Amino acid sequence: MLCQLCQVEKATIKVGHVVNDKKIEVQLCGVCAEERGMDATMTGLPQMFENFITELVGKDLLSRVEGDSGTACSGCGSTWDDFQKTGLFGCDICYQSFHPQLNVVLRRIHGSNQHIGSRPKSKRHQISETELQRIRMELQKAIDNENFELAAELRDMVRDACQGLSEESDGILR
Amino acid sequence: MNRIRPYGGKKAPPSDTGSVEIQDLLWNFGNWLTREDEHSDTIISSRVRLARNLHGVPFPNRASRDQLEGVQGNVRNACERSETFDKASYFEINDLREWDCKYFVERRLASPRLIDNAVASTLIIGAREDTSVMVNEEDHLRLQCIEAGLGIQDAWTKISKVDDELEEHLAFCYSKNYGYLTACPTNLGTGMRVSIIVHLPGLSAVGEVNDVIENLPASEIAVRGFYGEGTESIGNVYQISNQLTLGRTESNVIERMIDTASKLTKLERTARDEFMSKSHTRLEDMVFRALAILKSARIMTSLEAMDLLSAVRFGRELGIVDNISRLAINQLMVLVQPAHLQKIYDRDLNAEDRDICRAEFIQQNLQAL
Repeated sequence: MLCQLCQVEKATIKVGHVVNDKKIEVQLCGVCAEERGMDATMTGLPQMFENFITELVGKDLLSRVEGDSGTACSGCGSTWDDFQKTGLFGCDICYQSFHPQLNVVLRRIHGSNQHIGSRPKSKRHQISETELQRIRMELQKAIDNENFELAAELRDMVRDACQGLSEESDGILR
Repeated sequence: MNRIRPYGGKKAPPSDTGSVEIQDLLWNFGNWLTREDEHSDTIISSRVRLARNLHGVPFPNRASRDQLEGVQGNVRNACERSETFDKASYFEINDLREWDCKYFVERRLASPRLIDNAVASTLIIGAREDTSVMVNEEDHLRLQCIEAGLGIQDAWTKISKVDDELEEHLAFCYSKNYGYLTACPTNLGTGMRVSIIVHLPGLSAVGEVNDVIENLPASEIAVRGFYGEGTESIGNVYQISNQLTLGRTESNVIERMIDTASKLTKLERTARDEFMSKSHTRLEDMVFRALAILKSARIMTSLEAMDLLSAVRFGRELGIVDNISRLAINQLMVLVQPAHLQKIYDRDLNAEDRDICRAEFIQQNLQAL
């Protein structure tokens, strides 16, 4: 595995610590570990874990994504500084307010910034734009062929799908 | 001996705190303490937990008491209308006595965080304690299901049903890109944490347990002690869980955890066989020595009890002792914890009293051997 800080050298040292009830483990190369005052006996460990998100993401990387750390979330008033200290967001709007910084953080934590898992039951029947286009064409065809029963069914599907897509336009379901 | 018997103490008087229900729960073990599967020699239990938040309300770390009480009421209403929680027990954390709270943590129904930061926090326990909901923990809802052995798939099926049932009445925070939105981004996406409790005395005996744990991919799999985050292993019992919740489907995570658990089981079984063939007398000595102390000691700490019960469980799995069931040992490992003893004896015990009661309780349960 590559060092999680420099992403160049092979990681040779694994350090772990519990911060805010989360066990955090970071794998580092010898150079990065030494730069942070740690030798093989891990004597400099505590300084490395001064706040939650720095440990999770790495200071070097974080300094490139911090942006305006004082800007408050319009939903709850939390700032990026608050998040760095506690590791917690204050509300769902935080995920929009800190979107630019967040993508880097998420990639580091999860290796991804895109959800591919299940969705709430009420949203499970949503369909993609391409699929929606196909249904619209079928609807037109059904109307042209005066197949009104099928047309009514397809019309309802389009209506439901459009509702779902507009609800997701800001990324947060209402 | 196949069954743990209630011993000592009397039923608590009825009160507003729900203590009668707690006392009833004490001997009414859920699936994870009464069932077994083909992995139960190594894997004690499997848990699937989902983190959810209600739309339009700040997460618990930013919400006011009024808002959290609103969440509490809405979740209770939703649970009361759901099939799974039709006959549920509701416990307001702030109304509970300290030992009752600790008891729920020992029983794996509540997290230490739910107890420590309790503001308008509730614990909702379904019939047979397999499914439960923590309200106003780090997130508004933490849904969980625990099954015996490697029952991850069953636990997922059940908790997924609970998720759907509650969503009929509650609007969860969800985004197309980020999935279920959680207070901590380490839970973002599926909000799903799968944990298995494994018993690894064989790997420990042959000196390989640390190597095996360190070889698990730290970025994907977390290894913790008996009580979860930030705790050490006691009695060779470890908790293993997935780290990643975003960019993976629930099925991906379940498959990965089943694969990890199966590999661990295989390694543990090999280590047990190796120790048995190379050090048979040492194994017998360890097991019978443990049994002798458990049956004769007059004072015993929970740490010592766990280590000795671990040795007996090890011996039982290798046929060194055959008149004690695996389930009885699993149940004893839970019942000898401090808050459980406090509930069993149903009176205030100081640490030394508890150690005396523990030794007595274990003896009573092992005397049939």
